[in-house]
Amino acid sequence: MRIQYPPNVHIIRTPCTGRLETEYFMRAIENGADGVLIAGCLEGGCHFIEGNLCAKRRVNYTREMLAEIGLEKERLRMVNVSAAMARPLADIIIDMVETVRKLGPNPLRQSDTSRKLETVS
Amino acid sequence: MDKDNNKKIGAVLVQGGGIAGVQASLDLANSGFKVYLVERDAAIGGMMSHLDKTFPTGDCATCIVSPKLVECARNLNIEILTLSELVGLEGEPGNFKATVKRYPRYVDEEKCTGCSECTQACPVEVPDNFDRNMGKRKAIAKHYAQATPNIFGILKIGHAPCKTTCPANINVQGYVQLIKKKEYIKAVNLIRERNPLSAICGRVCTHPCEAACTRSNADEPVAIRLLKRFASDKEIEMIESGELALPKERTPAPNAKKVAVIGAGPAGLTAASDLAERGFAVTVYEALSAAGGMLRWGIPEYRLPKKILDYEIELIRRKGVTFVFNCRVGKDISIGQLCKDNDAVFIGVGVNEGRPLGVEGENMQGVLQGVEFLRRAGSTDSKPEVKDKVVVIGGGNVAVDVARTALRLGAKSVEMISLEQRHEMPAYKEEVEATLKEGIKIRNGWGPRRILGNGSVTGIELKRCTSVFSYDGRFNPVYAEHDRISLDAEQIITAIGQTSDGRFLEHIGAQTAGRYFKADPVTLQTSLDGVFAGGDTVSGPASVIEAVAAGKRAAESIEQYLNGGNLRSGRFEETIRPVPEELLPSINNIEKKSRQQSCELPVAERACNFHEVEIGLTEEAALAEAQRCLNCALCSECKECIEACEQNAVDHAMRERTVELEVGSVVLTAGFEEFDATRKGEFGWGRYRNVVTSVQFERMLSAAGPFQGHVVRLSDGRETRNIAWIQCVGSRDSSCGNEYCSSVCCMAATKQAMVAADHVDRLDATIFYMDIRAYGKDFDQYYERAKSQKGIHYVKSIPSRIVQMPGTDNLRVRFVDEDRELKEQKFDLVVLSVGMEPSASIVDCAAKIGVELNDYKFCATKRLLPLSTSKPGVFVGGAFQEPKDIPETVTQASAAASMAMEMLASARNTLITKKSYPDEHDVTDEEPQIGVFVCHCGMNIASVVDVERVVEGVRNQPGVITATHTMFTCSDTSLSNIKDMIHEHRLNRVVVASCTPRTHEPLFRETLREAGLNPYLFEMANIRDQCSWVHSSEPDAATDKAVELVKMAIARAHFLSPLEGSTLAVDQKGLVIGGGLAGMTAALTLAEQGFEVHLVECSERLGGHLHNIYRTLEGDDISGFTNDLISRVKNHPKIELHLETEVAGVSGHIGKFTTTLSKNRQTSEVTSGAIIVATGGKEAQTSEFLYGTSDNVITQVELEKRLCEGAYQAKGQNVVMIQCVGSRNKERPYCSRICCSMAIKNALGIKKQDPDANIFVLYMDVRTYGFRELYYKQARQAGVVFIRYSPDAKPVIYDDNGLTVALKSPDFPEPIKIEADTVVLSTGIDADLENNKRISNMLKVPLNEDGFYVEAHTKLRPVDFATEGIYLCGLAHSPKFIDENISQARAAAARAATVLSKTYLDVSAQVSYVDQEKCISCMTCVKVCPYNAPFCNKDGKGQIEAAMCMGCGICASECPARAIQLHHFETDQFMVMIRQLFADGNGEILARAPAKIKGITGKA
Repeated sequence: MRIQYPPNVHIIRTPCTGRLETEYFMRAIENGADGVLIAGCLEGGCHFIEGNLCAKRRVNYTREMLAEIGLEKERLRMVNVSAAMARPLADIIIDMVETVRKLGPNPLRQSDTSRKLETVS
Repeated sequence: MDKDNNKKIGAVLVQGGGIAGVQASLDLANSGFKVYLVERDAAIGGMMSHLDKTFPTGDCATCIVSPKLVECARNLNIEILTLSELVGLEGEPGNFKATVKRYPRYVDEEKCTGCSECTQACPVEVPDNFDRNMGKRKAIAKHYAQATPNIFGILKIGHAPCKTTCPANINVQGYVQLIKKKEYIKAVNLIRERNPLSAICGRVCTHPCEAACTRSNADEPVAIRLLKRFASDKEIEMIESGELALPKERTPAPNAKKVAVIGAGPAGLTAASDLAERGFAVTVYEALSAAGGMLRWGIPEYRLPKKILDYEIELIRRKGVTFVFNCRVGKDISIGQLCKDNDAVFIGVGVNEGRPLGVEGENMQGVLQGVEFLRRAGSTDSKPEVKDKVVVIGGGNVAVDVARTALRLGAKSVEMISLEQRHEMPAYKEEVEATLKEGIKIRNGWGPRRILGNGSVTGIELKRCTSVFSYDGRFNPVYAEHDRISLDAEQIITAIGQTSDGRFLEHIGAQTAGRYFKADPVTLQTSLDGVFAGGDTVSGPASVIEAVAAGKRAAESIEQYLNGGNLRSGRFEETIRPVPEELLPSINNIEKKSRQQSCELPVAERACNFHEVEIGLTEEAALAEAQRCLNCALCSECKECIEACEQNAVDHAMRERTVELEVGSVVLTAGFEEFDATRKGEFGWGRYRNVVTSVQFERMLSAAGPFQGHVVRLSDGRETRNIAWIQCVGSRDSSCGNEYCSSVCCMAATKQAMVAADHVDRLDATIFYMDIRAYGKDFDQYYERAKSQKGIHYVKSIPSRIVQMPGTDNLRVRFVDEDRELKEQKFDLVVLSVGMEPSASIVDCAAKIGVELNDYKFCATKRLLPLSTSKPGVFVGGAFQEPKDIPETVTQASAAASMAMEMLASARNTLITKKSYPDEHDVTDEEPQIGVFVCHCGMNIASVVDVERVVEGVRNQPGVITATHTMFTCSDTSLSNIKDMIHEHRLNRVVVASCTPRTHEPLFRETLREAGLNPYLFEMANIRDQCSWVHSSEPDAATDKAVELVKMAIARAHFLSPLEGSTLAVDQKGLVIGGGLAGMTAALTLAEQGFEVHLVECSERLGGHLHNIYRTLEGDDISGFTNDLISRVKNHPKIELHLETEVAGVSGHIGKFTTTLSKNRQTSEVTSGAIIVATGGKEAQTSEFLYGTSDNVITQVELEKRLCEGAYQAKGQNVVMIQCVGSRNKERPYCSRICCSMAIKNALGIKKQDPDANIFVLYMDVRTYGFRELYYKQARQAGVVFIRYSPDAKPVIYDDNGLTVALKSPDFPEPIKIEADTVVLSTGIDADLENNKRISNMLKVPLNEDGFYVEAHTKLRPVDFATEGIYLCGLAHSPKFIDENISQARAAAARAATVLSKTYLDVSAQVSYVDQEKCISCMTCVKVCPYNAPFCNKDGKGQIEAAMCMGCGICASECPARAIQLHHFETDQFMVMIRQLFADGNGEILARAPAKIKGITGKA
């Protein structure tokens, strides 16, 4: 579809969002990601039946942890999109970049290059 | 078994690549057969690929179908033949010869890499049929975004009317498209392929093309001539500015054959130009002093400047043509000499003798010939003298030219006398208008009578002409001789036509016809050998473009003549194929755009000079004008794609061809097409833009569709608020011949309304219906949710018509509401739920191969043989057999595959391919040696990302031995290069930065294997989809990102380990649980293929429910069928029967299950590679409606038994049947599917005994889907009364010395009471809950809320369980009919056969494994795994059964002890990418990398 989105977004591949560990989200932010977006299958439409629901639980848990250590929950977000939803996904990414931009740089980051990491199943 | 086993062919042809064909192909290929999957479209995927979501689960159709398509494309034993159809079948079952017609794709499937450069280059945008003409596509494109195979194709339907009408067949559409693309030079070059006089014709052509332009039917034709002129002028401009150089001068080869051309007019010039192009030495002999003929001497300068003429003649001269001027053949040189000196001669002289008037006074001084006048006016030395008062006789173009020239040469007044009325004048309209503008008078309807004067002209006497043409259009002027006038004139110039020079004709000596040469119409040969003639000298005076055409034609003939070829065959004109009229673009909904006008020199600036009057189009106007072209032929053959394709894959010359295939069997899975809604004109589809079909609406909802999922009105793009669905458009409708029900539309409309409600805030959705046929598994629950949760309105009424309201384009729907009142309601958008019809192409195919169709052109089958066609060895599945939805289609496809498997069992594994690979190079003790390959993907990546900078940016990363870039990394040469590099540099890791791993990873992994490397030592960075495509306007940022992505891939590559999947021995036996229809059918299907089967039945006899059924609705005898089936099972040597046996326990996994059987408290164990669950259901019990209290209240099952055993006396009976007893309510929310048909079957049974018996059927919805609908109609015709009741007002029964049923029907104003002799209850089917619970626990497979088993995926894995190796069929799945049970049982057997046919199963290497030392025995993994792969081993630790693991990694993420890892997606492999992404330097990233490759393998 070639829909444009900002180039400061990097995608890491996973077989299923269910494979994503809490640690990945935390490490990404610790290493300097301004935001982490998890894109999983639609609820009820997971390729592996319910991996996305496991991920949802972990993402929600990690969001609470972020809040506890004084970071904004909005830096971590999970969305559900299907393979035919290129346009909505691009909109989500753009929205996420905007959200993170408003929050300002990740305070844990030393260098000042603005980056964001995203994972897609 | 068959005696000629050895003749059987282990290959199957599957016709139709929709989901049915794909499923059948996969099942066949995976069980040892070669498959040819033949598909009419350019890609497989069928109707399902058009859908947005599927019901009732709401899955994205693309998401679920795409992996299946890709699997199909990757299967070595499935050969996909797209754009193909079966057209013949000879031979016998087991050994057929199939003829397949293959239509051209115009793109080489082997060479195309799917890069899409061609689509980017293609200027032609045409309506996209995939989006049902709501969106646009390029003429060269993929069938749809996720198309499989991932290759492009061109849409061609012939040649556009402009091209076919042009005498020279110039590719008009092509050059118009090139102009649209601002490729002006290419446009001119394309014109010059057929016409060397581009700039000239851009000014003076008679442009018959414009008259033929399709656009003229909508508004005005495209200004083709002006566009040609615009492009040509651009070329001249560029030459003048030095931007473009004139072509180099060429000279013919010394030994070239010689051709003489007589006459340097348009015909001669064209022939000379073309012959020179063809390599001949051409000399042109011209009687006058310069080339051009009538172009120079007949057309005035203000229309065709000499500069333009000279320019194009110069181009021809530069091709190596020699001109000899002032050389008149017959005077200065003889034809004999020419013939002697040359190998061939072309005569292209003009006709330039003016035709005399034939009236008195014609020879007086002051009377001039028009052509002579123009010739002198065009010369520099002998300009004619012009008097003040000039009269020009004639109404054609020459007369106009003469008049305007006379004016410019100083005449004070010029008047034209034309026989014709203004609208009849042969001169062009625009020329006439220009003439009038310049102040010239035109006197229409008069002809010359005599010229007045004495010696010198003083005037002319005219007579009135009353008509010019006879009734048949011939020139035949009639005069009113006495109606005369006289005009004063000092000079009279006649321009009433030309004729040829008789002396020249005589000199040549060739045969003539009248005043012209006689030449063969095809070859232009004259009666003299080697002498050809064309143009005016053969045809009489004609247009420039006709002369050009003659020149081209002659050149082609002369080449053949000189090369000794056949002059009549292989001619250019044979390549011209007009677009069939019905395929021309529809002009109904074109947005009107007015034609661009040329600028003109103001009249004041024209007088007394010969400056060019027409200035031409501005660039802006030309671009706008080119946009108006409708692309009638789809592909314009502008050939931009050829240039864009780096792989040279495009081939416009491809032709249709046929191939012959040897196959043992054929499976027809041709699917359906949607009903053509124009056949129901009252709904206005095609006329009202806001009326769409259900397929269009699916595309509208799809995020990948033309509106990105926005629900908008086509008329104004406004978001809709209220939408109506009209059901049964083209179904259940005898007025259009489709009396059947299309089975899926009720649910599809419900789903569309549900999805639309998610897209549109506060959507108001109304569905107009006849009966809601929510008969499938979980459908009724979905329907109830639509009503209660989404507020979708259901109105039981089919509207009579739709009217579009002017101004708003809103739609007024007229219908009779439930209170029987005529109503009208306004909607933004109306969706027509169009029914299913077989496609014309499959109907045709069936006729050719001898397969019978039913009355509605679906494949004719019998209920008890639902998969067999009338032709032995040819099987059918899916919607072509009967309208059905996806699960039933997929089921039937597998079942049809089982029919072929059974027939060809002895030829299994005889034609399949298995690839072998070199031994894997052991990399255990090596440091990582990484090779990086960065792909340009033509321009796909390289036009945005600086590929070379990426290579330089990663070259020094740790471990990188070599980094390079390639044009197409996936091309054959590049892949062999990768293999060479692996050997040369002893690479043990490969990183490719290119496109998506989704399509290309398997290919690269394959390359590694071929080079002796483990395929898991490969990593990919997607710098196309994630860089160049999505950051196309930021090349620097895209390049930076690409460098980072490749660095991340390299970092990860350090952590990759070789993995080896294990293999698993298969116990090639089946186990079937349940001995009813489904169980017996499944067991027999496996046994007939040669597999041993254990059939376990808990009761003492086989047959289950079949014993309660006597006949089908269609009248088939079930008792006989049952007995036959039982005896076949009992006597089958491969079936071991276990009656009165329970399953007591199951262990193991796919390939090897061990099942404990218990019989009379004694247990035994059997093993099998697969298990089929067919445990059945039960007739639902009831105590409602006095059942059990009154003897006259019985169930349908009891009634059927009594009827068939003759125990029921129908005579004079009043029978009331009550439907949905105990179902479709809170307790049992599902529909039992079969009861409506069963009631109709019994009602017809009673009517057969006594046509006067009164039968009342009380129903909620009559759900006789598919062809069962015909029996519903039959019952109504037989007088059975159907009365609807609503679920909240059920009928009431009381027994007061006889039964009375009372109800309040929404369709009747008054309450109804019916006295009944018999009340018959439709109680439906229940799940066998207790038994199902027990077995589901043992097999660890789930049950739904109603107690039926849950399949792996409702739509695409309807007979699989999520647990591999266990399959499901029959009533245990959900209620269904006998034919559906047979299909499902066979499908389950086919699925099981994909396992049992193998001796070993490959187990994926990408599975999870447990580090036994770290495991804390919490068994979290056992709890979270959706596939039951982890188990507690004998040490009390978690362990994962690789054969059952699907590789999702949920367990790895959940394991609290971090004891579990998923191979190839290990924690370290993720973490290193994250660290790399945020690293400033390189060093410490890999600090934690294993120094050497760990020797871990995925061996289970």
